[in-house]
Amino acid sequence: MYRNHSILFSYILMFVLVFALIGTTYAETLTLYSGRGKSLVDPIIQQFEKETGIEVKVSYANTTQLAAKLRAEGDKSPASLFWAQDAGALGAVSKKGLFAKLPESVLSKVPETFRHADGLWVATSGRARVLSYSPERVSVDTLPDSIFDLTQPKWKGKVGWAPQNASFQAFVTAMRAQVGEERTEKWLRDMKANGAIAYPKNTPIIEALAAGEIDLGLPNHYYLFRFKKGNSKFPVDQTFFKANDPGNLVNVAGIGLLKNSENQETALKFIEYLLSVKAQQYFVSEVFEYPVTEGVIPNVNLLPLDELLKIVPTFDLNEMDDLEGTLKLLRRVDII
Amino acid sequence: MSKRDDYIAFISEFKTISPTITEEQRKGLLRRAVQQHGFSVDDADEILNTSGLVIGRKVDYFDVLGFSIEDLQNQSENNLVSQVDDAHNRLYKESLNAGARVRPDGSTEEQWRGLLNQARDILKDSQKRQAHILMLQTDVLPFPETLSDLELSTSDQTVSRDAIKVAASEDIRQHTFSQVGQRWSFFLPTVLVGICGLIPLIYLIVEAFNVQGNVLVENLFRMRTAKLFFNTSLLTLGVLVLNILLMTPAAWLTSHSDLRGKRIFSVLCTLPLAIPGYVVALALLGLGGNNGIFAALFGKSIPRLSGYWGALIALSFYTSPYLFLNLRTALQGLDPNLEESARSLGYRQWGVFYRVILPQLRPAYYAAGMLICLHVVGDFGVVSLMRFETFSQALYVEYNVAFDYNYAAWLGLILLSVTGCMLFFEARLLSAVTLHRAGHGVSRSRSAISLQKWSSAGYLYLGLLFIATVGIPTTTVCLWIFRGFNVTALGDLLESLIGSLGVAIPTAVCSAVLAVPFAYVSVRYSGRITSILARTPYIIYAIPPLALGLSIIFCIGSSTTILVLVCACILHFLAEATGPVRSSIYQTSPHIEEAARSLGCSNFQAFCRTLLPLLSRGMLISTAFVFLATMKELPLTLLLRPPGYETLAANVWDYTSEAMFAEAALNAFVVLLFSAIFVRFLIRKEDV
Repeated sequence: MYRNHSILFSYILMFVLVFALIGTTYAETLTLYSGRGKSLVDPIIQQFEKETGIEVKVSYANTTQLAAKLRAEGDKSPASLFWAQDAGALGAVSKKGLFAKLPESVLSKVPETFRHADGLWVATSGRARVLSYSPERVSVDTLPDSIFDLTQPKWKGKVGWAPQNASFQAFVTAMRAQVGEERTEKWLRDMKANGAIAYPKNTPIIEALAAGEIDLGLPNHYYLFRFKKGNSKFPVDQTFFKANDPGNLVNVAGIGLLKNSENQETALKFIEYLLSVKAQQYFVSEVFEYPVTEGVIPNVNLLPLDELLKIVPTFDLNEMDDLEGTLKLLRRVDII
Repeated sequence: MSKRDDYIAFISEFKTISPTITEEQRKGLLRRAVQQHGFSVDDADEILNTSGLVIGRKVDYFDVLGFSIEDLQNQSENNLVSQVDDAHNRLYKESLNAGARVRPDGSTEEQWRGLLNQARDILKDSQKRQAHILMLQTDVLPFPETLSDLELSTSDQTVSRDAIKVAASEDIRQHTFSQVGQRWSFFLPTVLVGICGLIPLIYLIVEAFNVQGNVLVENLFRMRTAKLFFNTSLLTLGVLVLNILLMTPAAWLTSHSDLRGKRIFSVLCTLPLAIPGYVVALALLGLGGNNGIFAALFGKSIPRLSGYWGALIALSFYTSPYLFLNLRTALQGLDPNLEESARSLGYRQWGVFYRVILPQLRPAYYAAGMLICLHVVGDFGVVSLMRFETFSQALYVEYNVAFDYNYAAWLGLILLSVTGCMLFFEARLLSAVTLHRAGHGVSRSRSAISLQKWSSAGYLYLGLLFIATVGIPTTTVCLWIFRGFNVTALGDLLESLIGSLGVAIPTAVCSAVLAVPFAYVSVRYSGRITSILARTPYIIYAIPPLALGLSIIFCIGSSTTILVLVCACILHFLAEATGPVRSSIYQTSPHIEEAARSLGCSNFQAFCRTLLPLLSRGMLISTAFVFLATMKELPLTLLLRPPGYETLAANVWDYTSEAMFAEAALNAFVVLLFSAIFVRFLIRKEDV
């Protein structure tokens, strides 16, 4: 019995060594920290590898965690690129002085609203905040016009939000920039008093809408399409608030080049690829996001970019790096 | 411990097995006192007289079954066994038919039946029979008295009793010297792991005190912290209670009853280990509501589980195998003779359970309870999906959203102090437990208890448990696959599987091996430093995985390799590996090693040849625990895996958070399948 075990154990130990060797002898190429989910971006990365022959090693994790990781690693980070889910995280990393300035040829491809003022990062796609609702329980003409209407008594206990989610926090940061600290705080307090139900992420909001737990929700725009893809009768719809309402924020996913990385030329190729028509078309058709460059065939489910730009709240995306202030506010209101 | 205490402890162990001793045994105990503990005869006699042991008549087991020594002396072994069995059966039946009357010698029929059982066991075993004959013929209890020692000496017939005496006296000289060497072979690994565990601790403290006072007061001292504390305690307590209520009957049914298919039910009760907690929570959430699976199947919607009850149920289902496996191992290791003695002393079934079985299960309850508490306190996925706010959920949110970790570090420290308190109380409770057999012989295999008319209830119970803990999540996973199957997702599957195994297998094996010194130190050595050392795995386990991961990144700086990930996982999961091994050690007597040493083994040899084989069951369970846990592990994997390295669990996390359930389900399904195979393999290895 005992002898058998020791044989088994030694086999397994050999197994371990082999795997450890495999793990350490991967060829060094381009290392990407992706705060964007693998399911969303893997196809386009594979396409890039196929076309250029450059191997991309991707570390997938939560955007904020990766930003923290970059901060911890500092100059020694193995990453060449940081592809983030929201402008706030990009802002935080650029504030730490870890990004290199991107060349004009790359920056000029996107409108000014979609890039860092000093050219430290550039957006790769747009993501809108929307009002989702249950068409079974709420008729379209009774939907609230503004995010400030959600505090009315008739929506008491019927609105779902995700205050712990980075997208929501980015929205609060934008709201502070647009309507000021006081109004934002009042809105948060009123929402809380009105019994808004807190979900951990965007998808549970949409599930809860379908399950009948809530009638209205505040998620990002693209999740619903994935539910509808699997089930076209999925009982949730979404819409925007009136023009210039803070609730219509368009946040970005963006990418930055790390200053101390080795193969910056190769890394730039990757950024350029993401801004190419092919990649942009992929984001629009497959991920259901908004493009940041021109010449892309619009997705029928999405508002065309020029119409979207008419209803989004006006403020500077670069002001969105004050996540700390937002967290302070959310803690003060006792939401997180 | 003084010699006197040592000797008294030995006698009380002896007493738990048989409160009545024969004159010969009394002499043996006296001889032991003089030879091994160095008392004078008068002192030893005095201790023995105050010990409460009653000197009864000498029992001739041959006589009990109606034989004489000569009847059986020259028979073949097979013949003898069948004769003994026949006689036992006949007398046992007679006794059962006799009802409740008192026997001529004043004992009850139940006591008589206990004696019959003992007689059968002793006579059927050739070694014990020889010892018994020796005792009857010479009126002398062979030296040394504990039968575990005796077996070694009698099995080696060439060693005369005098030779053993000499070896033993030499051993006394050696002992004190070599104990130091032996200590270090066990202490060194524990100290090394302890040092590794200190690093994240220091990181947490540095991070926590790197903050301005007013910010701290603002964030920490608010109602929310109190609420989090209350919620966490309430949830932990609830999960513990629900788990004990659910899993004690299940463990008993699958180990002691006569139900068919106990092995399959054991596998099924262990299967929830294969299902990540957040999948359980997602499945329970997907069950209710207008669009839920229940509504789709039965056309009627039930309310969705959420909040406290949702988290309570999901976490109980998810953690139930920890209690089940620990309990089952303990139940299987129970010595049936103890129960029979209790029955022969007049206890009924419930009395036996309450007085004999339950106290012996304490280490299993403590070890599993500890694991469950740590899981609940450290869980993020389930509580956040169920929208129930606890410390670790708040901590996770902090880690996810904030760039500076001061507040998170404080939450982490509070969490640590909570788990520290739990560890302290567990240590206090455990220190009072001595459970190994002090008496004669190896434990006999037990006969199953017939449930008779209750057996269908037993099946129903286990079946319902299975549907709730495994059926619902598995069905949900299958439905997800069914609703949106996508061939392209298959391609990554193999790579991810290899990735998962490449972390899980080394972690599992190394943890099980490392758990042995920890468990050994914690059971066999007492003292403040050792008890802290023995608890280091739990202290490390109590450090939030995210803090552990980040502190490792801080320490080694640049790119991580799989080796780093595996080391981190070992550090984190060592606690899960320690419990089962520790339970196994509790059930072995230290006298076995002493005996081996007295027969000339070195300390290490003695350990390897006597204790290690007895630990293999515990080690296998440890390996399984850690393997299954690592297959599901998320935060450490996400932080520490080298770029491009994929695991199944990471894919599940990724796909579910992007609402791509079909792809997530495929990965979850492979995790489930592989873990199930592993669980099946594990249970088959044991004799049910």
